[in-house]
This record gives sequence, C-alpha cells and structure tokens, in this order.
Amino acid sequence: MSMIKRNRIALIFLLVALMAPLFTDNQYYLYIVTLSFIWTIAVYGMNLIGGYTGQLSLAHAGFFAIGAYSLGLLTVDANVPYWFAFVLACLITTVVGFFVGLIALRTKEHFFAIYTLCVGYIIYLVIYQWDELTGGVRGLIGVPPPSPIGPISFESAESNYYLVLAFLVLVFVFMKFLTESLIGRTYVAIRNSEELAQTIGINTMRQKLVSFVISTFLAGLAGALYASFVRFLGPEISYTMTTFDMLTYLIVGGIGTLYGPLVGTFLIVTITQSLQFMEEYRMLIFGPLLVFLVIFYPRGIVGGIQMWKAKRQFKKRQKMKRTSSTSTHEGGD
Amino acid sequence: MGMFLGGLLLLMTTACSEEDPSSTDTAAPPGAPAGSGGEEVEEQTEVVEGTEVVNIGFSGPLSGAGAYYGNNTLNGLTMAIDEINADGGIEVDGEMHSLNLVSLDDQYLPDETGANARRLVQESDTPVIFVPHSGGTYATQIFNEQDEVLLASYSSEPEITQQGNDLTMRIPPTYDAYVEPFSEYQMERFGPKLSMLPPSTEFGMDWAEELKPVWESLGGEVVHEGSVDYSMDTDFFTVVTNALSDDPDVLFVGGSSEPTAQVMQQARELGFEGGFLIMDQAKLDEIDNVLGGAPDVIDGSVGVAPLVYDIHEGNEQFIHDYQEEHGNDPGSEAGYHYYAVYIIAEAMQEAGTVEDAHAIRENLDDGLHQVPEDKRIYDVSEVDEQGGMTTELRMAVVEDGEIELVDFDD
Repeated sequence: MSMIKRNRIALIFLLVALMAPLFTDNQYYLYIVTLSFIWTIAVYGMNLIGGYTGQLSLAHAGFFAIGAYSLGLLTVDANVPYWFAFVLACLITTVVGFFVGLIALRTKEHFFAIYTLCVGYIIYLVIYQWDELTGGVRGLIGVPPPSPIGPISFESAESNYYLVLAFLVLVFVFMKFLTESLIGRTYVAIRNSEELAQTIGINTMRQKLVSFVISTFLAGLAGALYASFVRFLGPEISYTMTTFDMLTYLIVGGIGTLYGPLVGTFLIVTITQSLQFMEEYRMLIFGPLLVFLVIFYPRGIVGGIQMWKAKRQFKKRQKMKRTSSTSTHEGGD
Repeated sequence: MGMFLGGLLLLMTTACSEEDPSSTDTAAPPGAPAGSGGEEVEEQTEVVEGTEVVNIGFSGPLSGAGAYYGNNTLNGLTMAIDEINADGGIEVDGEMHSLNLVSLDDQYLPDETGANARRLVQESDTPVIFVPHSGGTYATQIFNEQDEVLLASYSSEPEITQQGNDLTMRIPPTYDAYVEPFSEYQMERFGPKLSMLPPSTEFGMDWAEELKPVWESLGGEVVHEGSVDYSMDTDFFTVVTNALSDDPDVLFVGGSSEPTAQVMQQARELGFEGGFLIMDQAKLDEIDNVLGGAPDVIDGSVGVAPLVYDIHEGNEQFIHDYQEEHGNDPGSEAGYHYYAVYIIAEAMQEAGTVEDAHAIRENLDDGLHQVPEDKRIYDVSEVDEQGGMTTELRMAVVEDGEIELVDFDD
C-alpha cells in the first residue's frame, strides 16, 4: 500500500497514458504523443549521463541515429527479422557507445561536451556522406513496422502507441530502480565531486563508462523505435540540432530528476505543435522560456516543484519543532 | 511558480484539447462539414457563403532554408483556390462547394510532414494533401492509403509513383526525362568531357546518378564527380577549381537558382568556356536575374524552360495575375500547383464526390481534360495509371546570350 502511495504520480501518469486511446480516435494526437514517448526514452539516456552523472554528452542524436539506421539497414537491406534487428540495433549502438565512451571519458566537463559534440557531428557526416550504405541525403525508405508478436500486430496507431508506451514504462522503472540504487547514488556522488568520490573508493572511470553506455543504449532503443514508427530516415535526425532539442526537453523538464524527461519532452513537443502557426517565430516563446527556466529554475519544472515541496516540508518541520519546544517549555513551567 | 505552471498546462491543454475544430473556425460558413478548418491551422483562402467547404491540405517548408520554395508552391495553390471560389466554387453532385486551403509548416522534415498530414486528415478532414518534397511524400505514403487521402506530390522523383501507391498523384515530370535531351544537346555543342558538381541534396544526387550512365552511353566521359553543399559553403572557388581541373567541356550544376548562379559565375571567372547543364531545380531566367543580366555567364547553358519564356493561351492570364499579385515572375512550382488544383477540382466534379479519394484519383485524367483552356499552364497530355502527370517537355538553351526554347524532338 505504501508502495502505491509513494508511486502515485507515476501510476496516475500510467493510468492516463493507458486510457488515452480509449478517449480519442484522433490519429494525429496519438502520433504526437507516441513520438514524444520515443523522444522521452532518448532523453532519459541523456539525463542519466548528464543529469545524474554530471557528464553532458552532446553526441546523443548521433547514437539515436545509429540505433535508427541500424534497424533500418538490417531490415530493409539485409532482410533481418524485425525483432532480431531491433535487438541488434540496440547492441550496435551500445558497442559504439562503449568505444566512444572509453576515449571520451578521459576528458572532463567542457572538454567532454566539446569532444562528444564532435563525435556527434562525425556520426552525422558519416550518415550524410556514406550514401552507398545509408542512402545519404536521400534517406532510407520503407523501414517496416514492428513484426506481430503472436496475435498482436503493430499496424495501427493504437498498437504502436501501446508498444512505445510499454518500452517507456520499462525504461522509467529501470531508471527509477537505477537512480534509487547504490549505483545511482554513486553517479550522483561523481556528479557532485569526482575527486571526493574517488577518495571514498569509487572507480569513477568505470562508473562513468557504465552510465555512458546505458545512456547510448537508451538512445539506440529510442532510435530503433523511431525508425519503425516514422518508417523513413533522413540524416537530419543525427544533426546536432536534434541533440540540442533533447537538451531543451531535459532542461525544461528537470535535469537530474526522474520525471523531468517525461514532463519536459511532452510539454515541448505538444507546445511546439500547438504553436505551429507561428512557424519560426515559435523561438520567440521558447527562447525567453528557456532563459527564464535556467535563471530561476535551473533544475527545470520538476526540480522546481521538488524544491518548493522540500522548502514547504522544511518550514512545516520548523513550525512543528517550534510548537513542540514551546509546549515543552510551557510544560516545564 | 503556480502561474507559470498554469500557463504551461494551458498550452498543453490547448495542444491536446478534444474540442471540435469547426467551432472555432472563422472562415468556414454555417453548414460546413464537421472538422473543417480550425483555430490552430493557417487558412489563406476565403470560402463562398452558403456552400459546403472542402479543405485542401498542404504541408511544406514555410520556414527555414526551404521557405522561399515552399511559399512559391503555396502561392500557386492559393491563386487557384481563390479563383475557383471567386467563380462561385465547384458543383459536385448537384451541390455547390468552395475550397479552403489549410497549410502547415514542416520545415522540410519528413517526420514533421507525417505529423502534419495526420493532423490535416484528423482536424480538417482533407481529401487531398499537397506535399512539395520527396522525403515528406515518402513519410505520407506510409499511411495515406490506409487513411484514404489523395497525396498530391510535387516531386520529380520517379519512385514515388513506381512503388504502387494507389492514392498518389505526381505533379511535375520525372527528372529522368530531361537527362538525355540535355546531354545530347551539350555533347554535340561543346564536347564529351563532363564535370559534375551537383548540390549535395537528395535531388542533386539522384540527378547525378541518372546523368552519369546516360552521358557515358552517348560516348562521353565523366572527368570529375564532386558535389557542393549550399547549406554549408558560401564560397565555391575551391570546389569549382577542382571541378575544372580536368578541363571539362560541360559543367553539370544545379540546386536553387541563387547559389547556382554564383557557381556559374565563379566558373566563368576561373576561365571556363564550356557549357552548363543545369538540373531542373534552378531556372535560367532566375539565374539571369540573380546575375543582373549576364549573358556571357549563362551563354551555352541548357535547362528547363522557364514559364515566362513559354507564354501561351493557357498560362498568359496566370502569369499576368501572378506578377501583379506577387511582384515577380511565377516559377514552375507555382504554375504546376495552380494547374494541379484545377485538375483535382475537375476530377471531384467528374467523380461526383469531394470525399472519396479513390474516386477522385480515378477521375484525375478525365478532370485534366475538363480544365478550361485558359488554365492549362503546361502541355500535360494525361495523368497516367500510376498517377503521374505526363507533360510535353521543352528545354531552354542559351545561344548568343538569348534564352530560347527547343522542343525535345528537335
């Protein structure tokens, strides 16, 4: 019972998400929400390495694209069965992430961000220029939808929605256990002070590498889902702007928080759609919004709410303390 | 904090509200079909009071690098729809209908086109959606048959109609039709050595891939295969120098007219005296305008026939009206979109329905032959079984500094 109480917000989210297709037959809404769920999975990866471990990776769109293109090429060109290709796509991204991480994590802070930015750009250039393999600027056409699992097929928007939702739930649960476990606390320790973490016996390089590899796995997973959902891939998904879009989702939602990627991605994706009539002038809203958040709520919406709740609880405790000390004092008289 | 969150939640609610869009529609008249128009979508056209409204969808680049192109395509659609509505609309199955254009910006991104197309179907109930780029076309072809919406694609990529999508209409001619006549003309005039410098876009790569075997089969030799990225490069001397290093007779260029003009000018400045083979995106008249009238630069070029150099009874009024309304010459994007609206409107009348995309698609060829003479912008002979418009093509050549039109047969 206490577990349900502790996770009531997540359960409400889940319930709303499960019920949503029952209340609308609008394929457009389902498309947008499904797309936002896919981006959320990728942003969870960015949150793990950037928010919890304190290493801002700007190659995230590159890993997202590796996952997407791996699935696309394996299914379209190599005719590998879908789910086998899906697993391979995640594995390929993870392996590439491991080798990139081995070198990238020898740098720190700004240098790590610059290094990964360059890696991301190289991935983009490879996809863009190697047209014999990737289709280059032409893109990759005809990525198949997920193969049926038993009697469940994934041809309709609703079934795709539930499939992506299932993966999102798995990622959320995994992130919750990971960040609340000792390993998660280790990441936070590295984020707060790598030197201090080393002095208490943490192998920071190994932990950072594990965190980086998990984050690339999540980016690859999201990329593979994206490929079979949109079913057309172009090199622009690996461009650095995509990384900065993900970073915006994370900053708005709350970097280093569990709900941040969920809230930030959903809000920005839906607001972007609702303000579409403004075309490029949308940035007039997003720009000041981002500046406002970074100045006043550096840990985003969720971080802001957590801070507000913490302050309220602190005040409550202080008040109770004062009340109890007054009554003790009165009792003493 | 609360107010801020409230604002965000309000925006979120707006984005996902289930309200019937027609209730906020200012353009649609009473009696319009449910879901016609909407507050969140842009409308450019005025409908006729007392008629049923048929929404025509558009998803194209209206912001970003492709905005100029996207707006040109939109201008053609808007002009045709305004004219049809000004004439009282179209009579379908005994009832008058007016057309309403609903446009959305996709910034040239296929996943945005996919989202927009679904939005147009769901919120505006559009039986037809215009998409002016191949990536967006592919993204829409994934579901347009399932959702029963006719996709009017402005892409000269042959594959879009070859993959058997029953609800696709290809508006422009396929680019492969230009390759052989352009090659024959330039090889005969200048010689067999070709240097290729297409833009590093999907279209440029496709053109290059088509051109190379044709050029070689005619006995020519490709001496250089490069590309130029207009989104990254601003100075083209290095790539043009490389392209001219093997002393070619003909230089293959293309892309948007503005950077193509710069590449051509720089080639001349570097001493190139051969001919230019220009892919069908750039327009010779626009290139000439960009260069401020430079006959020595464009002399020896071959490209697609500019609309304003091919004036006849079918497009005279359109060109005049376009120039008056927009202050510049219409390009083929505007011309073809304008023509396509008329073909679809006539096909709706022939099919007796404004909703059944299959019936409209089946009647496109009949619709084409019903388009009034003064609206036939191009010499289109048929809409073939695969949905492609077959246009009788002519090419433009520059001889002695003058742009002249030549029939392919000549």
